[in-house]
This record gives sequence, structure tokens and C-alpha cells, in this order.
Amino acid sequence: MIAHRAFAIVFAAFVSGCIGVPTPVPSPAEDLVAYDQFVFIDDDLADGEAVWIDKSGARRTATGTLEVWAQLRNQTGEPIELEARVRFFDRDRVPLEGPSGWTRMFLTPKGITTFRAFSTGTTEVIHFYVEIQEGA
Amino acid sequence: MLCRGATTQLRIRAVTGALLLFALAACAAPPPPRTVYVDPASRGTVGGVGVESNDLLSMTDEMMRDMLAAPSLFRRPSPRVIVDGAYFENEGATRLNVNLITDRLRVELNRAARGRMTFVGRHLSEMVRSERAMKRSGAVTSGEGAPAPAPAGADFRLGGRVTTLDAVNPTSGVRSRTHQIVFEMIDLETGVLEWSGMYTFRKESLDDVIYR
Repeated sequence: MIAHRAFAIVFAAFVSGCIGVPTPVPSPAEDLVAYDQFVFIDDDLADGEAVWIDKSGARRTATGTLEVWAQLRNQTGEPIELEARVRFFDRDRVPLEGPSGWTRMFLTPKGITTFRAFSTGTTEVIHFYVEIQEGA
Repeated sequence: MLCRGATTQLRIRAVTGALLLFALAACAAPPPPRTVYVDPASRGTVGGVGVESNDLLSMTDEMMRDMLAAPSLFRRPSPRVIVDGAYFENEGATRLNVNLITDRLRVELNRAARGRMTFVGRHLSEMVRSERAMKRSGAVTSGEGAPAPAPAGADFRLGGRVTTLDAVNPTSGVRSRTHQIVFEMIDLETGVLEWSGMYTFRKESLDDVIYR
């Protein structure tokens, strides 16, 4: 009886683990994306101790594209390398274009730098989402 | 001597054991593939002091976005532009096909501009000349569109240059290379530079990577 049960368990493990029973993937909740924000996606930076965002904003350029910018401050006594990229969305928060390329920034100890990026679209671009990570 | 029930139990145990081993073997992680796809926007494991794919993507993306935000290029509605490698020189020490830069820039710009700029394919002009000649000689019929008196001229053309600055520490073997890549959009009537962009980066490496 025990042997039968063991056989059943092994068989069930085999079927579920190796053949692969599809598990439902939770759909990404809209609220998970912090629109119009600059977000540190690195755990090391997420606590906001090492790098501060002094100022940030977005404005229309003369050609109608959207410019987003942020002034970043290195709070540490060590140089920090950062990378940032931006995604743009329309009024309904539908992504309009792929993410920009990563922009590399070098922060001197206690220094500041500016991240600046433009959308390719014009009036349809309303929202943005900037990811910042430590440079590799 | 074993009784019949005990023999059956032993057989079941043997089969169960075999199945367990089979299941474990099947569930074990597969061997790593010999070839893997890598995000071209990321730093790969093979890298030196030259231009890598992530540099290429970041550079062309930045220039494209900067151009689309430049009012000097949009004084005319849908200006005609030529973006190719004919006037984009590599004067640096890095082995680099500049068409990688100009092709990507043209395609990305064309897709993003969505009618705000018109792109003249001067790099394919021989193809156009040949087709026009065949149409006019009667070798082929005319297209559905109205015949143009001449191929389109352009308002602006991209020019540029890649230059590098090298240094090597003979003691440590560390190599340093600074790339300065200049992009300029020139007015083809006046010669005025209507837009300029520059992408600069410096890399240091001990690795001796061969760029092909």
C-alpha cells in the first residue's frame, strides 16, 4: 500500500514538475507602474540613501516632443555610475514607443548630474516612467 | 524463500525507485546551451575598449530623440533628409562599420518621425535610376504614381566623424580609449549646420578583444 502511494506521489511529481502544468500568470496591475516618476530599480539604490533626486520635471519642447529631466545628487563620498532610461505612454497609459537607450551618468562624490531624455512622439505623449539603476 | 506478496512488493519498490530516478533526472537542470541570446542593449560578457552594441543602441537612440526635438530641423514641413554613411567617417582606432550607426539612425528616425521628416534613400539611388530608365524606355510600364520629373532632392544630410584617443599603461596593461562621435545635419543649400550632436565615452579594459 505504501509502495502504491509512493508510486502515485512520484508519478504526480513527474507529471506536474516536468511536463509542466501551466500556472496562471498574474496580469500586471496598472498601479504597479509609478507613472510620471523616476524609480530606482536597484535594491541598493531603492532606499534613497546613496542617490537623491533633487529636482525633476517634464515639459514640451519646441517641436512638441516631451522632455523629462532630473537632477541627481550623490550623497556618498564615493563615485557612482548610474544608467537611466525612459518609457513614454499616452493619456490611457498605453506604451507609445519602446524604452529609450540607457543613458550612462557618472556622479562624482557628493556631486550632481542631470538626466535628460526626449520622447519621439509629440502631443500624444502624456506620461513617462524613468528607470534608474547602478551602472554595470 | 520469499512469499508471492513480498516479491510483488519488491517489484513495486524497484519500479518506484526507477521512476523516482527517472523523474529526478528529467527534472534536473538542462545543460547550458552553447549559444545564448543576449540583450543588445546590455553589456555582454565579451567587451573591450571599442564600440559595443549597447553603445550603438544608446548613441543612435539619443541622437534620434535629440534631432526630433530640434526646432531648426522643422522650420519646413516634413523636410527631406539623407541619412547614410557617405559622409560619416571612421577616423578612430576602433574597427567599426559606420553603416551600423547611420543605418540604425535612419531607420529609427524614419519610424519615429512618422511624416515629420521625409527620408531620401540616396544610398539606393542607383536602383531608382535603373527603374526610371526602364520605365522611360518602355521596357516596363509606369507605376501607379505620377511620374516625377527627377528623383527627390534633399534639404538636409547627415555628416559625422568617429575619432578616438588611446592610452596604454605598459606596467598594468590597462588600455584606455575615448570615443568621440560627432553627428551633424547640414543644410544642403546653404551649408549651415542646423543641428549637431556628440556622443562621448571612455572605456578602460585589460581584455584583449578583437573587433571584426
